[in-house]
Amino acid sequence: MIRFWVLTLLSTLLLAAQGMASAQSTTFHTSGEFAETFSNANGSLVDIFAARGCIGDPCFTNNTILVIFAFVPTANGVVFLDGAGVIPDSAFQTNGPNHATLNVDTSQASGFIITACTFTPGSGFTCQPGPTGVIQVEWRRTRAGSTTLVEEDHTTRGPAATNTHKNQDFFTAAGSGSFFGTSFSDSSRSKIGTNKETVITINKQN
Amino acid sequence: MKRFLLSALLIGFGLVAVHGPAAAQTETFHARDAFAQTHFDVSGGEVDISVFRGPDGSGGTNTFLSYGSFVENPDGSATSTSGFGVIPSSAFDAQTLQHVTLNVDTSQVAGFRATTCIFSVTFTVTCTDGSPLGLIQIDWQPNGASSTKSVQHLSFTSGPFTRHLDFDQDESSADASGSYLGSSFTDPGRALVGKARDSTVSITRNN
Repeated sequence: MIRFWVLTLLSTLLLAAQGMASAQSTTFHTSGEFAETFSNANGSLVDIFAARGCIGDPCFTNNTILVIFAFVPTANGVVFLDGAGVIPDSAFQTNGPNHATLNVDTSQASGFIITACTFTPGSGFTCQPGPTGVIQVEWRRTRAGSTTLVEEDHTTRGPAATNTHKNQDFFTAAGSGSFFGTSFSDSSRSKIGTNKETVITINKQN
Repeated sequence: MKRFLLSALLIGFGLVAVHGPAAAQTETFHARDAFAQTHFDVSGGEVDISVFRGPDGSGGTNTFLSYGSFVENPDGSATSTSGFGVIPSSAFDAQTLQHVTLNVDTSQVAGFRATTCIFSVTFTVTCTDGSPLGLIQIDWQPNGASSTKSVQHLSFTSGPFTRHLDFDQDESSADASGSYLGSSFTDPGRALVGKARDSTVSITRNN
């Protein structure tokens, strides 16, 4: 009987260790300029967030980060794309709060990692490296209004859970561009502004 | 990332009206039940529509609708419209969040407020009360893209209006489609349905 319980305990610990090994957590700290758009690109929902900031806690360096999420309907179901990481500073250009551009080839950004996860009923999520390519966005401030925001979010998108603390000042903006070759434009959900201290933690189970 | 800026454009889910000094008028609303939002692009701008259910202060429920638009005009001016107020609860069917509908003609709703403001090229603002009003019909269905538990505090200023929003709610991404004041629209994937635990908005008109 003792042997049974020892084996059970060891098995439980092993399974727990495997579970921990497959879970990934990445935290981004952002302060300074940022721009974000949430668009429908030919049926795919795409959220693109570019900001000055860094990976890690505490933040020792000042980089530019890019975080993207996409929900891509397919013939057999849906694919969740989540990508995040450091990109060259020159890829994200801003001119105060009025105008910003993003132009990055993620295949050339070694610090940017993207994952594609497909949901299969009965089997759960199957994840693999996601697509790479060019992402271009141009933001132009509109006169619709200005916002001060403090927010705590816990969002689930497929196998990724994101905890976000936002502290931002921003203006409404119009965003347009292309996402891996698919054009989009958005006049209602884009923003351009400043992060006072925004922290994004992405947890993935696969 | 889904606290959409334009959800703040014209949120009117509320209840208690507090009238301040003559130069500024503030209305405060509360929501503690189902809500739905949609935002869609139109030529030169966007439209935002939100509907909420909340307490009426006497043990019952109220349903609140707000909508607004902001459109850049070719001559450099911009037109901002807004409307908000209590609507008949039968107009908002949210018995199940798997399918939520709104069907209301705001021109037939007593007390519903609407304002149109023109932003000139030099950013001066001129507002006229009484429009737009009319028929709004929307279907929402969750799409499974995301679900969020959100607590946010937001202050949004547009023209003569400042809105202070305190949200505590659960929300799911949704597809929305319907008609807004005579024009059909679709909002595939970026709409929201959910339930407010305890949300409040204060709308102040500064002139």
